[in-house]
Amino acid sequence: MDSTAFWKSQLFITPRYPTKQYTNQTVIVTGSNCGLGFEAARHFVRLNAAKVILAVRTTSKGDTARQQILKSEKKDPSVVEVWPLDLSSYASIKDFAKKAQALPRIDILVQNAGIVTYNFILTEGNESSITTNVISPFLLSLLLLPKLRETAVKFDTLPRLVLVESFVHHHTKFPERKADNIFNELAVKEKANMEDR
Amino acid sequence: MDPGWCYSEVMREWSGLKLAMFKIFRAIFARSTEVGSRTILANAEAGEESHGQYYDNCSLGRLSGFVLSDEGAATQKKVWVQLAEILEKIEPGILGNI
Repeated sequence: MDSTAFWKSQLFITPRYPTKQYTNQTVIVTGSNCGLGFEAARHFVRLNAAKVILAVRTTSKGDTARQQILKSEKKDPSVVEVWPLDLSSYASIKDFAKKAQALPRIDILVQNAGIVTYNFILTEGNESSITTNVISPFLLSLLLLPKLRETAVKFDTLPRLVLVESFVHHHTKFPERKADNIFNELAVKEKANMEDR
Repeated sequence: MDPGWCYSEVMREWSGLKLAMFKIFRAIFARSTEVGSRTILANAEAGEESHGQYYDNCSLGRLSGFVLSDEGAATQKKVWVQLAEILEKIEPGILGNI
């Protein structure tokens, strides 16, 4: 959207309060110990999801978030679980996905976790925001896709995969797209323009 | 999907003047995180017509000119091919899940 539309939307458009029920459903929200992920998880709990999994990097923060949600929504403690998930580690993602296979179903996967950083560091061989915001969500999505499909068939439902991104993609120049190997180019510290990321 | 500009800790690594200015703008314009999270819920309940689409707030949004252009489409293919290679290295056979 253009600038005027953006500012107008910030001041005058309020998304409506969610009312649809999530009875019997299992929801996973990444990056849910604070911010948007936390509030989204809280909505799902309020809307009677059978299971809401807070997938967080720091489980102590996840535990605090869980307590806050249970306090405000007054549901059974077994509804909310905290699972560790570090999107800067492929091993962590694989462990998470393996654990998720044991769930009876996954109805909603909200990939909300992300980082904005001006410090160039490499994680898993790529610049950290590329690993965390691009590669890892795809890895997690593809690892869990069979489970989402299985849920659709078994329970005759329409599971959802929601990716939280940003309209600022309109402003990104992304010069690395011209390189032969984009990901290798993004991992070169000397050429990195972190503002563009 | 894009949730609009919300209060959150996504900028937690910022500091100094940048952070101060950001905080001022945020106080005036940003949505509370609860309100912002409503966009996530709205997208979670959207129907089949929303598949593969980009949503701004709670309705169908417009992707950037670049993404919609021919160069954008070519870049998209290129990124996907290279990303797929990376994913296959991390977990061989994973592309079979699609």
